[in-house]
Amino acid sequence: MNNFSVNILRSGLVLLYLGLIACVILAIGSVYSYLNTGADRSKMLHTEQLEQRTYRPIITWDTTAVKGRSVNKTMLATIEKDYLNAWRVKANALKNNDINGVSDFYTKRSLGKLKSIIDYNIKNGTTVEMTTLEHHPKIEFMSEDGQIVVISDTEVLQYQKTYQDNQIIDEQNTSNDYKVVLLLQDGHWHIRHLVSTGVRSITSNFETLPLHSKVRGINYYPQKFPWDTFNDSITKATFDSDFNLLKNQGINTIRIFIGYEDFGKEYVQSKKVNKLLELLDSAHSNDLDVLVTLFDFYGNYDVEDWTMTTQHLNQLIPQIMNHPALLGYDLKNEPDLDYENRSPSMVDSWLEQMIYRLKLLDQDHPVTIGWSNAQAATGLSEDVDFVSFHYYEDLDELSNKWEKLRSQLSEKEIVITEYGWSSYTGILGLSSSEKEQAEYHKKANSILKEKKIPAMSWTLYDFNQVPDKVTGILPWRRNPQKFYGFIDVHGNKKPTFKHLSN
Amino acid sequence: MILRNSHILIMIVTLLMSSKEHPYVDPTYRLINTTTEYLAGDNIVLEISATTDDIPLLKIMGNQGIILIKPLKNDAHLKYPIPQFISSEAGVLYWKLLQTNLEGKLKILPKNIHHIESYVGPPTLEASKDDFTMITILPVDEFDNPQLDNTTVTLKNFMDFKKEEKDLMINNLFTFDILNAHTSTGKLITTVTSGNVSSKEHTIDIMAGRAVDFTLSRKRNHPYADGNQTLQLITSSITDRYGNTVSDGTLVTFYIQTEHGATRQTTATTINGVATANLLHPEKAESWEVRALIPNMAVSNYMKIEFLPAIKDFDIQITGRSIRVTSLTSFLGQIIPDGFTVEAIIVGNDSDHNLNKGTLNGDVTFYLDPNVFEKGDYDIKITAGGIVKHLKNVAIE
Repeated sequence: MNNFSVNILRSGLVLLYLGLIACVILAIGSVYSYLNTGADRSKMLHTEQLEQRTYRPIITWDTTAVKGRSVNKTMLATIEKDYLNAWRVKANALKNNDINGVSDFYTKRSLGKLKSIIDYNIKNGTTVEMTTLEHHPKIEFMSEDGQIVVISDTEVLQYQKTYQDNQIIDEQNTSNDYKVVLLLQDGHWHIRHLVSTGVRSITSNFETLPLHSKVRGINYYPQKFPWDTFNDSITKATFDSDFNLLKNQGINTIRIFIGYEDFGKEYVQSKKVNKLLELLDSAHSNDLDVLVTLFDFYGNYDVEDWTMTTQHLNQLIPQIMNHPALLGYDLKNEPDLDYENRSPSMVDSWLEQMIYRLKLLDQDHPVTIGWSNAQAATGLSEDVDFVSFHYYEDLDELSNKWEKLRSQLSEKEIVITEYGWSSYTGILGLSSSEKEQAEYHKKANSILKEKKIPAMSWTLYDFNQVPDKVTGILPWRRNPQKFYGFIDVHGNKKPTFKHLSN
Repeated sequence: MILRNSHILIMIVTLLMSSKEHPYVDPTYRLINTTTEYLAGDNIVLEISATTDDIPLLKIMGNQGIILIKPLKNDAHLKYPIPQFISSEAGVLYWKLLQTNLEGKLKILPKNIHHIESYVGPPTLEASKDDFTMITILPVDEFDNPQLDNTTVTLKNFMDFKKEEKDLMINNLFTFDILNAHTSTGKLITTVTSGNVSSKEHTIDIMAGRAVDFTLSRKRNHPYADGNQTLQLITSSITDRYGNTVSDGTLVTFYIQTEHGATRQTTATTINGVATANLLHPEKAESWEVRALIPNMAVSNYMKIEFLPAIKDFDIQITGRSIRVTSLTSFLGQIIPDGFTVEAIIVGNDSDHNLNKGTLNGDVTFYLDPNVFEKGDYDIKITAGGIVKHLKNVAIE
């Protein structure tokens, strides 16, 4: 017994010793590696740092009639970078009323002019948020030694939002013309002169487009790829079989979602667009119209970011706007849910601007915003071609809410772009909710029919997984989202399937 | 009756007016100013008559940004004084009365030229008919505003004691001119004036162009290979194709090829177009071929230089372990200058040593160290100034 405890004591001591040694070695090791951080030769020059551009307005250069030295692509790229940076830092300075950082892109003298504006605005409690969405610079002249450039930048599409004592007091889109002299100093092009030669106020004036369809629709995600319709591994056959099924049930419209990041933000990826075109082709061959929801999961809205979202539209829309299956665009899914985090004015300004940009590109397809509920649906109704909202409330109130909205928005068509019922039975799986779901859809259909409400249900399939970004990670929020479908995860038609078409 | 009629009249007029309503006219506010063109720095006050008590802010968009102006309420007029830093900026100024439809533009013209900014580049030129530099001119007024199109400035050049003048017109804020090089070197002095305002003086250096081929000459005190005197290699005055002497300090490389196949090289820089290289005479009779060149630009002719032997003979005296080489006399019979190299090659049964030593007073003594050279027979070969003497089987004790 005694011997045994001695052995325990011994082995305990040995283990303690080994543990101590391990700790000491670990400590020495971490001190050593800490002292070596930053000493990596390959990182000494910071050559690995790639500049990420955060300001990308549409810019088209004219270099056809340059006096003096001819301008090559490399020079043009540097001029473009510094010129746009000059606009970016100016926008930043006016927003924050802070001149810091501007001197990298403005000469001392032109900096003074900007500084007096900022001083005046600080004194008067004014701040200005601005961005430029389009530039059409023409290089008039480059000096023989490549140190001076003169540019005429015409039809610069500018947006300005003016705050007085932190209250928005004015929002305006203008088209400006400038003459600019840039000097190359310390390897950067600096603005020496910037002279406004013309300003025109722009008001978007587009006709309201009709919705050429009696919508009987459904929101669509492939069963295996919820919130990821354009996954690499999805095939056209999936779309074909799903859409054929929908067609046979009398559905004539689907609503799909384009993730802003998924499609590559300001660099729209062609492989994603090709998948989207496959989907549209498949929908077309099955007589389905497609309502394309843009900017899914986008949440920045900041004026600083507008050039990026504009680029996104400019690259994406021309590739799909002539497709026969395209019904129209839902600019953003439930943007009113971002009001709390980002402020209504910020979100609305962005929506207005993006509708305007979208309209500039495509004036043949109607645009809507997918508001999350009937109360929010009156927002920006002047700007959209038809109003759309989502209805997850009590069906008994649907008729009243519809009538009320109908009378408020008498000039616009209105579509319910989401409604539905989850057959989630809770953790214990006691109640037979699939029946309830069937009853919901039966009742909904009868109301929709009676009131002649164009609507789109949520959604075709039950899903095994729902991404965190949709509902968050809380199981009582996430799990119901898996059971809104007409077809369950095993591919069986749920009782509600016979009510698929509204 | 009359009253009623006038009422109807008012109603009709009101109806007519409202039916003709232009979307951009707000009847509540009206601009009083009639001028839309001002000179930079002018005192500008926008006066607006208003029929309400509201006092809207005026938004001004200048060249660089946006400001808001609060009005001074005076009688029925709203007065918006535009601050000096905005009114002194030439360009198109846009204004908008907030919360109304009233908007407009003012054109602010620059004042007369106050300062002429000019840039010249490149600052040096090659003397030739086709090289040129460019002067870019950005005249500004007292508020740093660039000038309007068609404003004239005068470009003045001075070169070769000749003055030239030329009028240039501003277009797109600037104007420029090409300044051609001359075929002679010198300084081109240029300036820009307008009225009594001048730019700073620019000096453009016109430098000689690429050197053209040149000739080589030599200078030496005697033709003997005594390893003591120096040989001077001198280039002709190196010029460009227009006869302009190349810049001082142009590097010339001299290549020397000996008859034995060795190549030597030295460099010299030019002064007044001439580069001079100094080389020591060889220590034995040799024939050299010399050529100078400025890499990638110009070369000289080949020049042959012969060196005659300086010494004709010498004596060797061996005493014990000392080998004395003596009677080393130069071409006049004089003692060869100190430091002349004598080489001794000492070959034993299983050793082979090569000793070199410079002369002192015409003598060299090689001491064969017993630690190195064991007792025995050696072959001794002495070489000096190209003369070789061979002693076989010399016994060393």
